[in-house]
Amino acid sequence: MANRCYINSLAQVSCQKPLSDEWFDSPCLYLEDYVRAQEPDTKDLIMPSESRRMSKILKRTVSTAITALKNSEIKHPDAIITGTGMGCMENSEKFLIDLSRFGENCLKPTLFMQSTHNTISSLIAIILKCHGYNNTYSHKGISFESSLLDAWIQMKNGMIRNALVGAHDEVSPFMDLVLERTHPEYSFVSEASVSAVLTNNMSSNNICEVVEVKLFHRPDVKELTNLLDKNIDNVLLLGINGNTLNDRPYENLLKALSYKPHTLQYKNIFGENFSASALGFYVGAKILEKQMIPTFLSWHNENVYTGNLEYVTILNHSDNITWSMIRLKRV
Amino acid sequence: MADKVFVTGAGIISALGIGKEATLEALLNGESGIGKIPHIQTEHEEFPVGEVALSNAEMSRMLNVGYPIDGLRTVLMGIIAAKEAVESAGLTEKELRKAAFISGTTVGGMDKTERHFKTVFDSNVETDDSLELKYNDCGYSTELIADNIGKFNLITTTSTACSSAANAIIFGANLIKAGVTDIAVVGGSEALTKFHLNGFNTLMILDKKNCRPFDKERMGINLGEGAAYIILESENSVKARGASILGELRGYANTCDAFHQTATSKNGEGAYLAMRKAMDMAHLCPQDIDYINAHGTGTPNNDETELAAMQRIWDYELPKFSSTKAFTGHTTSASGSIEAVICLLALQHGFLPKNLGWHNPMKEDAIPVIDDVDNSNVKNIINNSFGFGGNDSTLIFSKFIKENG
Repeated sequence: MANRCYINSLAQVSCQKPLSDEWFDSPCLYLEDYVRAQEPDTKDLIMPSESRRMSKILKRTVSTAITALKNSEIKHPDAIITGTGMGCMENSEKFLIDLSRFGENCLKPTLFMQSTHNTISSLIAIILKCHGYNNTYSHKGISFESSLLDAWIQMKNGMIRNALVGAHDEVSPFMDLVLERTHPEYSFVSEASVSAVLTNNMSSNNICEVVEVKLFHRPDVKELTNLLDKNIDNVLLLGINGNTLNDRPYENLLKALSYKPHTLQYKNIFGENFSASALGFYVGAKILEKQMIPTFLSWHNENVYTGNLEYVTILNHSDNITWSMIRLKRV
Repeated sequence: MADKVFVTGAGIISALGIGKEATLEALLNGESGIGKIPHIQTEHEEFPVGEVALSNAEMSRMLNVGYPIDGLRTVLMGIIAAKEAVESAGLTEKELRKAAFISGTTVGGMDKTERHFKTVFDSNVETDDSLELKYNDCGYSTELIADNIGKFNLITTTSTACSSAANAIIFGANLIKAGVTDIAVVGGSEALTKFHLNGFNTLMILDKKNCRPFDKERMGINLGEGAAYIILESENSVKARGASILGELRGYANTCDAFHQTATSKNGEGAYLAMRKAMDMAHLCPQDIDYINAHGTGTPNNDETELAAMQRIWDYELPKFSSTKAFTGHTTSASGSIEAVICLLALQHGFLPKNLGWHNPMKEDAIPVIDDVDNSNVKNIINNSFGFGGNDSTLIFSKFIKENG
């Protein structure tokens, strides 16, 4: 696995200012338990005739994908790989509402056509006319990491040179109410759409390098602590959300570590959803690019971090069943 | 980078029955599993489907599982097929601990969701029915299947509509080649739901008669359901375990038609590229392909463009080909692995599955397999799976011939 994998560009839509890094200096702070994403201005990104027919998640996806590609050196990625926990949920929801209200005889084809999880990845391919590898992962809170792992191993093995990787999830007001019941480990809920251009090409425009991507199913704490190296993994970016049910597994891991890393969070300003970890990836990359840690990301540290910002290690779990580890390195 | 990926186990459940033996018997006897709808609650009884004969209660009793699995058909079928696959490969608990489990589905727990949705929506989520919606997402069904099979080191879910299982197989093979794992349990599971039966109906691509893939008069799809998993293994692991080999996954490719969300391009660009690239990986030329298990859904659009793509490669000398969808129905996300198991059975037992329901050629020289023929020397099989969004994937399974010494 001789090839390298760099992040060449990134774009996000979330409850922070869309397609922007403004959150880094002045984040929007919310008191609500649930906030929808700030919609991006699509007029320079999508033709109005196309935009009208797109659901929210599709508009956000196209906005982040086109923006990330515009800011990168790649126009036609070899692979388009997408993670989404719920897919085009709002269209599925509308189809289910129609089904329960009007029965089985006057349903709308467009809702069904744009309800599958892979609608997202294939729409980008249709717009870009990309005939290459195209895949979609839908596995709860590690949907993004599954896509990243797919791209990463293909790039390391020379099967592809570059890839557009992302994760996208929308949460309707109805789904938020459902999530309150079904996911008691959540706290502040919002939406996420993140696109990243990855390349094996070394360039001064690269943001950072992806040096490790690992997924685990029901790991022992020991398996996770063995992964972490006190000389490398000094800065841990965790999926902490302020809810004990979610945070306890991270705390147990930190207790079992033989050293004390500097610990950071991101869900306090970006919120929780199945694609939240993609925002963690985005935040980690931005920290390395800007060589600075915004104070509001600090979690339970006694001091300000003064060490080298060589690596950021992102740890995430979904229901404490699946775990992921992504190690980013400064370039 | 590990070169070879072998298949060392397989399991299947579909309208043709439970397990490889029942499937083989139905295929050899030309007995279709398509019939009237017995299980799902729908007004659309005019559409024949390929449902698994067992009810949820019967499968739950058979597996000795309770809530919430007893209400999740994708999970129940998935456990049955994955168990058979793991047992046929003789994998131990310890070996499964280090293995990956990659499953494809799109429906996930939609069957449970659609039963509870109205109550939840009308009651503003106050009711406990809302808890049932937890199982809607695809990942949950993969987790529940995995928990009933083994511990696994890595699990995830692919969701690319009707090519989901094929893409799970491709990801599993890439994980083995990258050295992330030596063994991967890969495939897919998908229950028939009112949701997608109605969805396909809005697209007006369901046939009220039994489907007739590659027939001039074909009118559309019969939906089906089922699950199938195969065991992929690295050469080192096969040697170390002394495992018997069912076939080699010699090539594969995932491409995108990049044309339309639910229609395929006229010249079948995605399908063409998928077959071409898979042959490139396998180091095979078109003449080496002995049989194509086509996606062949029976819609006017799919079969026309799939045939166009095949003719771009083989011109008028097409290899033997057939669609087995008239046996199983279109098992959507599971079709990639269900048909992979059918291909492996064909390699092992030296037969080619017939294209049931076929009468009239779409084009001259485009006649699928309709009679029993001696195919004992079939070596390389192409297995196509195409999904909405132009997510096209091709797998190539080859007979494993032990080298001398």
